[in-house]
This record gives sequence, structure tokens and C-alpha cells, in this order.
Amino acid sequence: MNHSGQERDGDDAADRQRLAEALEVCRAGRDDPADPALAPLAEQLAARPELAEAHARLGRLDGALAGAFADVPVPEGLAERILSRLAAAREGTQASCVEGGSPLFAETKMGTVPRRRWRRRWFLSGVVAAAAAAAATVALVLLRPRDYTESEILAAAVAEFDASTAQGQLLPNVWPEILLSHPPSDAVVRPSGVRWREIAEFLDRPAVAYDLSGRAGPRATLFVARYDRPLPGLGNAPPGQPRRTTGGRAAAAWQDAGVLYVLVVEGTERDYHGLLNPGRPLA
Amino acid sequence: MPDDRVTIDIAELVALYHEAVYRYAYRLCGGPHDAEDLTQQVFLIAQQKLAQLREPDAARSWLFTILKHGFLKSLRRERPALMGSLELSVENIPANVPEADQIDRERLRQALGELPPKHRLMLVMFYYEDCSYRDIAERLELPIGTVMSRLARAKQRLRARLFGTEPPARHVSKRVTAK
Repeated sequence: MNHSGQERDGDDAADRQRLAEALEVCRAGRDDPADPALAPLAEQLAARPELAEAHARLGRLDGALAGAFADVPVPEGLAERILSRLAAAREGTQASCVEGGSPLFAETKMGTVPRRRWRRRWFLSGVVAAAAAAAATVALVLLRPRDYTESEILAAAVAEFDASTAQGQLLPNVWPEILLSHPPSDAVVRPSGVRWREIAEFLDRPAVAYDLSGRAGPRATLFVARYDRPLPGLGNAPPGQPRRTTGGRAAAAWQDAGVLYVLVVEGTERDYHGLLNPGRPLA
Repeated sequence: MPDDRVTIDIAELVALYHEAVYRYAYRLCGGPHDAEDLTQQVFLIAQQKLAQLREPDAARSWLFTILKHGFLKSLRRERPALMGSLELSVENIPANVPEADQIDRERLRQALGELPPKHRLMLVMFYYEDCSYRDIAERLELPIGTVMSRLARAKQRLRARLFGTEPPARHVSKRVTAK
């Protein structure tokens, strides 16, 4: 092949490529075929019925794919969890939630830059030292896995409580390993007929839910998960007052010996108190 | 001069758009936990910057912009994706077009996950956000030609993974040639 023949082949390939791209991105009946970017396609569609048919077929396929893209089940209680986290952020109990919460937003860290001009060199030295100390602190905070806040824990438990329709199993005579490692808290009363079920993921870890709904009592569940690190704001016994009383649910969390307990009761503060073992101390 | 901006409450934004934001995040992240985390981060940013939202009607788009911004920032170290040349073939488009409910959702999730994140983003903008190629170019501040090229390749590769319609090699393709 001579040089001009090679150039012509190259031009043809480039033309085909442009046409292919235009065919893919142009939505029939929506994008303007007169758009200069689509000019090669407009000419070819008018001249070649098989191409027009392929374009129409592609349009139908894209429509089906758009439907599939939008079909994503939304988890129960998502809005509530978002609102809970927003409230926590507003209250300043979660000062690092935006800065350090997700690697996806790691770049949104908002440190305040001192704007004041320092006149003395020793001031600058102090600032540099302070900045280095702050950076080290921030790095330590960011490198550490983020712990859940109390409000997030309660929101997750209430969401699970509301979402669950599963009836668990009665407690067996010989407890399996999962129950031995996730025992119910002695601080909570255990009415007859307690049922349990395993939760594959609760706050990013397996958990057990004990259904404490007595025959005449309110619906109630105790969630138990292993959580070795001390969680901020939680005591080692159930609080005297529920820490969340919205939506007809009273809930509270505590942490004892590396185990996180969250009690959710359908009802009021009074119903919550009814589930606490009177012989045990409260936080 | 009075401020005629219409105010919108963050709780209202959450109520109206948390599902749409979550679905967008899910398609970008490919899993429920990352998607929920990203969704929460979007609304945290939105809460901080709510004063920037001047038109409540633009809230959905504004939230999507926050989401894309965060997603793109996470890709700073992404290596450029090597995508071969694109051959046009009518065979690359399935002869029998499936209905939306016939498309396997898990396969779609996996297929998206196998694509480079920037290509995935373009597909989500095209299919989920319903952006045109011009919208995508404008919002991502990319040249039209770049968007057309990337989007076309991403679409073909998605179809290849979903329907087994691999883009044909040049020498065996039944090409629809430009005249």
C-alpha cells in the first residue's frame, strides 16, 4: 500500500470512530443531530436505514438500562439515620464527621487557616510547632477507625427494630457459640419466651437480637454486638432515662466488658423502665 | 435590598432526595455500605453549605454535584484507564433488546464495578441522571470530544459485560462503515 493509501485508511478509521461515538452518545429524539459534534451521524442516519434501525434499537436498550440503573432498593431507616447524623454534627458531638468520616470526602477537611500576621519570629515558631502537633493529632484521629456515636448507634438499632419482621428462635437449653459470645445483659429483665436471632451486620459487625416482648408487655428488643473499644458517651450500665424517645420508640445503649447493648422498646420512658432489672445499677 | 431567596430546610432535602442520592451513590460505589456512607457525607456537606443553594428546584442537581465532587476527589490517584479503539458494529447492540426488568441487577452492579471509576461516573450520569453528552461535558468540565469518546467506550464495555457482546476486533468485525 502506498503512502496516500495508508493515509486514506487512517482517515476512514477516524471517520468510523467518530461515527461510532456519535451513534452511542446521541439520544434519538432528544439530542439535536444538527449539533456539529453529531454531524457525521446525521448524514449517515438519513442515508442508511440499517444504521437508523441500529440507532433506534440502541435507544430502546439505553432506556431499559436507565430503568435498571434506577432500580436500587433503599435501605430501611436511611432518612432517619441521615437526620440523626446531621443532628449530631450540628450539636458538635461529631466534629470530625465531615472531615474524617469517609475517604471519599477526605479532601474536604476544613482546617482553619490563621490569617493573622505574626510580627515576631518566635511567634511563627510557636505556630509551626502547634500546627505540627495539630496535624499529628488529626492524623491519629483520621488513621483510627471511626467509632459510632451514640445517636448513630440508637438510630441503627431503631431502624433494625422497625425493619425486622423475622421471628427468632426460642433460647435453647445449650447455647450455641454465637449466644455465648453475645449474651443478653443482666441489667435487662428476661421475660419467658425470649426469642433470639442473628443479625449478619449491625454497625458493621455480627450481632444478636433478643426479642424481649413479653406476653403482656410492649414489643422490645435487646441488640448485642461485640465492641471492644470504649464508645464515647456510653456508660457501663443502662441509663436511667432512655436516650432516644422519638417515633414511639424509647432506646438506650451501654457498653460492658467489650459488649455493646442497645435496648429498643416500643412505647415510652415508662415502658423502657419496665424492661430494666430493678436489682441492677443504672448509669 | 431584600433577600428573595427561598429557603429550604435540610430535613426537607433529606426527605425529598435521600433515596435519589443513595441510588446514585450505590451505582457509583457498587455496595450498600459505601453508598450509605457517601449519602450521609453528601447531606453533611449539604448541611454545611445550604446557604449556597439559591434555587430549591435545583436541589437534586446540587446534591448530585456534591456527590460527584466527593467521588471524583477520591479518584485523584487513579491511573489513566487504557481503553482500546472503538469499532462500530451493529452486532454490538443486542438484536433482542431486553426490558428493564430483564436486566440482571447483580450483573449490572458487577459490570459497573469492573469499569474504571471515571467511566462508571459517566455511565451513571448518562443513564441515571439522564444527562446528555453535552451536560456531562459541562458538569465535568471536559471537552465534548473527550466525553463522546469515553462515554461511547464505557457504554460498549458495559454491554459487553452484561450481554456478552464484546466489541469486535477490527479484522473480524462486520462493520457499518462510514461512506
